[in-house]
Amino acid sequence: MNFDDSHLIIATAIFALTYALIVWERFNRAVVALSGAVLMILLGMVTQEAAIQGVDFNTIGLLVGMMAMVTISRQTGMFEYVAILSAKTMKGDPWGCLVMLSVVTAVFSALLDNVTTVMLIVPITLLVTEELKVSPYPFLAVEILASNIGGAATLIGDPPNIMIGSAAHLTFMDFVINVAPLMPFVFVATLIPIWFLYGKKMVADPADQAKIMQFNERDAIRDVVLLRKCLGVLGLVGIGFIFQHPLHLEAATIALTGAALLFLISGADFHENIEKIEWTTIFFFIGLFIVVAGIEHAGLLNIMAEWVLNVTEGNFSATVLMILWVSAVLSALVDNIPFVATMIPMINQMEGAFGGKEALLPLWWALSIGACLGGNGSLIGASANVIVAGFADRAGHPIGFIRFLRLGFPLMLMSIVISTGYVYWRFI
Amino acid sequence: MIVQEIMTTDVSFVTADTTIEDAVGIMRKEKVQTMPVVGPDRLFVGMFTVRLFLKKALPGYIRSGDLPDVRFAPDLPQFHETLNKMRTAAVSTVMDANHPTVVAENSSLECAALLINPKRRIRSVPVVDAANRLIGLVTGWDIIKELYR
Repeated sequence: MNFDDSHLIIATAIFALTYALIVWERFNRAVVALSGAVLMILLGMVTQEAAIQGVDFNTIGLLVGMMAMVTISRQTGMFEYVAILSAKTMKGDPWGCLVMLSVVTAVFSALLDNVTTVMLIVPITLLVTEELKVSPYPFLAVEILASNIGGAATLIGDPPNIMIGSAAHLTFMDFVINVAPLMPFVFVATLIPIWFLYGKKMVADPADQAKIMQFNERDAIRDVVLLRKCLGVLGLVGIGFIFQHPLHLEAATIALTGAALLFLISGADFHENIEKIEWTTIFFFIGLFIVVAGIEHAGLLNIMAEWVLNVTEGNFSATVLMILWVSAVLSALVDNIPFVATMIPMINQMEGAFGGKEALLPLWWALSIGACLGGNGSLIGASANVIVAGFADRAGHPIGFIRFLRLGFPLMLMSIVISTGYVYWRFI
Repeated sequence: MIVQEIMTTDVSFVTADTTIEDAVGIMRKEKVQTMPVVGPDRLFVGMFTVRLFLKKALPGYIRSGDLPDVRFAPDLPQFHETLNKMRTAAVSTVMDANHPTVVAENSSLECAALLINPKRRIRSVPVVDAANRLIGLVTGWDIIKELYR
């Protein structure tokens, strides 16, 4: 056994152990990823300098910036305002409320982040279903699906897209042009079976429907001045993302500028708000980037890329579709963040085989669509799913892993069939 | 100053099988919001409070703090129905069985620290002997009233 072989074996073992512990969920995932990262450095798989270089600080900066802005904005009550207004628009009709609340979930998930969106929309949904005396399960299940479909549409909607966009230098508008047009089709196609399974049986007493109309959305707004400031800054950040390419700005710069500006003009307490950022997720990312840098240096990703090319016999279309389907199925079963972190450098290794960076674009879109929509396949497929399940448990309406799997997995497969047609039509 | 010097010894209490309705009746009469719950031989087993009763009757998403502000919503009849249904339940189903206690030799400083702890949100501290029997109660008022005596 030579030096390279032992390197490869040790790095692969650390990588496999880290993955297994993340899937096992016995320990905090950030602690697992950071432990794997430290092991990579201590055992000489990667130097500390190379490990730090492996961390994509554009992804980290974008996540922190967006989380900070959302943390301040949520205190205004604007999410609740929109959710209540949407339910009232349908005059308390249960199916109408379900559709509108899921549309709101999808749109907010695309424009902000899907975890925060469900954290704010789900409690309102539970209140609405309780007033209507209807089962909250179809509402919550559809909101899970909508959060992942909406999140898949933009660069900032879902962590896999943030990682892919940063690594492949894809802008907000690149995602809007290439991925977003698919999502309304997937969303509508998802609602059709939901209507047959649940929607057509949904009935509510007119007296209970009238109670929805008594909701006063204006009372949900807790701070009008802060709301104006938040909307102003979020609007500027939106413009920044749209003109990201001509402005020559990285997404992290735009998000962090917005966060700094909002802290400056809102007078929001820095300590109080910064504590609410999901630091577990941030350190999970940092650890994973280093673990993946370890296997990249050891040559494992090169071997994996060659294996994929061998399986597909170097056929470009077959490689794109394989990435789409494998990403979707694996993202349903395991956390899509470590999966995408591994796939990114692996796809980069294929640059030579397919003739340059431009040629890799369909592979990036396939990875993005597969990993984001794959999250709908099970209750543990994405962070937003786990958050909704937690809310449902606390509210005394547990969703149940198998119950959601029976609904989510076939709907996820259907969305990937639609995506296959789209990817084939647009990119191959 | 130690607990022995400030505690109230004439303390009302209920047993674990007392109904919530009966406990609330006593609390209304005595104008208190907390009531120690004891087992045989006056062993302290927990604390029943108005706050815990309300909390138990609220929907899970409000109880957990996920929806802290509901001023935009009309009243929820289910909340009042649950409050009403719970009247015949035993106080043991609602009480805080991990409520902190002190002994007579503890300092009033310790009682004050327990009372202002934002994680516990308690209004009074039961005083127990070495065998965990209830012998008194300390409230915030018991601590500060010495200043004005």
